Amino acid sequence: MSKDAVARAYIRILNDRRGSIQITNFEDAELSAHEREMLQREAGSDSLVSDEGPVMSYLRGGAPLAPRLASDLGVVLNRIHGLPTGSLTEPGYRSSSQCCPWGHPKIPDPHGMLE
Amino acid sequence: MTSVPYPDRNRRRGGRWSRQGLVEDLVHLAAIERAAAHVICGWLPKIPGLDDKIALAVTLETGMARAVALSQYALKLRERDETALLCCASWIEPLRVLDGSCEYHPVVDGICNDLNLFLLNKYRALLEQLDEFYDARAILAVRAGIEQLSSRTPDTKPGTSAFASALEEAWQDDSVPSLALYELLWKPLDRVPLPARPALRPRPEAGALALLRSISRLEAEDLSAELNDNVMAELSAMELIARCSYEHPDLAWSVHMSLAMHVADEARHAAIFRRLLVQNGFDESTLPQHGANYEYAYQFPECDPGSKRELIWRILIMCTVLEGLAIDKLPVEIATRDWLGQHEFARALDYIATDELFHTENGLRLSRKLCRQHSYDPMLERERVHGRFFGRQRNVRERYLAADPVRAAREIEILEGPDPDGVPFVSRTQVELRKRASFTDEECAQVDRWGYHPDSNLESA
Repeated sequence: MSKDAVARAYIRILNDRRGSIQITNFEDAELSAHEREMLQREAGSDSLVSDEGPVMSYLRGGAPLAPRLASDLGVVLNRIHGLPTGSLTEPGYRSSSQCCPWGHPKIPDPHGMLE
Repeated sequence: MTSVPYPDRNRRRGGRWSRQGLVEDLVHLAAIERAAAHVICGWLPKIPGLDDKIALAVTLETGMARAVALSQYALKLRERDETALLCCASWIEPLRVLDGSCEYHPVVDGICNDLNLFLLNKYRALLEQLDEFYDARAILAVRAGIEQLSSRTPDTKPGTSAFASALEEAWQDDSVPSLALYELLWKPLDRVPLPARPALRPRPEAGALALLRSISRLEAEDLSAELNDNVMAELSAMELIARCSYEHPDLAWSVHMSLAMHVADEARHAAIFRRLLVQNGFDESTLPQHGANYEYAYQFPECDPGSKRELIWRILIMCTVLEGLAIDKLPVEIATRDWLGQHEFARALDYIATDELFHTENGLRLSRKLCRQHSYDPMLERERVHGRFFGRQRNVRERYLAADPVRAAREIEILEGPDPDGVPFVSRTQVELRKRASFTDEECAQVDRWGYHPDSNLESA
């Protein structure tokens, strides 16, 4: 279960990247000393979030995370990368059945399509 | 008592089995069938003509099924010793050369004509030599193969092309087999980020919605656009799944078999919508061609090209996100078409909807297995690829909207306006259907959090 605790703490760090609160205190009793140290390093790092970073590599090994936690981690990573976290609902997109009978918009970008 | 070696069964008078060289021939034919499936999967997105594309795709499932059946029978005769299923690279060399072709015509002709005829003749010759009781199971596969191939082969004269000659020459090769059957295939020769579509047919402007509904579904213009867009979506799925197979020949044959079934389904779906276009009097050649779902799901900046993570992302987005949404939305679409009296369209969608359950189940099974093998979390990776796939579409659409504010305002007005037909049905996450396709409660909750349905029946984020 410690991995879930690391994921929870990592989500806090990633959310912090969007704000100004520096997270330095990881109180979760489930975290080992090694995990705390790893999170501290990541929290203090200025580098962009990387799928190959130490925390993500650590989370990737072994058993999967709790499903909701895994989903939440994906959402926050997408947000940091400026990607949508749900359906495209802004004006001009719309995912309703009116224009997207199969559930999602299809927006071609056919430049360079082979012939 | 002294132990005496058993007599060598392979030196039995008349041979061990019903005919000399039976296992070798079964393995030889299985290798050719498997290699042909490999070529087809690699080429599907590179063939521009829709007739050719679909003709090639529909041969995939039956060919792959024969490869599996023959190899399984050979494996049985080898007492399940996989290391004893050996073949020569030269047996499939003509197909490897064909795969490297610069033109698509030789590939279509080679597979659909020359190879069909070659296999038909080999299967007929084999059938004559099988024993009705000993080889009953092989006979079933061979008879089915003869029936399938003869229905697609116009004549029985040997082919005269270089490929046909090379197939015959390779068949006569009596080198000692030394390569494992399951490791015989060559690595992918290329990458195909965009699928081919017929030349001279219109392309949509980048960023335009493939379907912008401003008039009733009963109007010819709307119906033709909808049917054509469905053809494009089915082809995109077919092509992407085919490339998943081609670019990862190391996957188990059982996986390639299930991918071949998926590809054949999508080809049939495209054919169904094309038939509806014809039945409704629409000229397909005037309708825009695109490959939207393929182009956004083929590669990703987060994944190394050709990596297993890229494969996982493709399967997750196509089979477990897009086809999952189809499970949710098709009941609304079917109800709508019935409600409007478009019963043939509704029937077509009804048939197609039942296939989506297999596609998602198959995708879930494969993606879970791959995630386990390569230490990825399916929920996390699905979230990531969902964001990347739609993020790219959003960016393209943003540029389109920004390029012409008047046009953007007009389109937004249409999108925000009432449904032209006043359709009263709304979608929801089809939890029961999804569970039958092996989605978990958590996976249903994940899609619900994405907010595709106005009538969510699960917790929201």
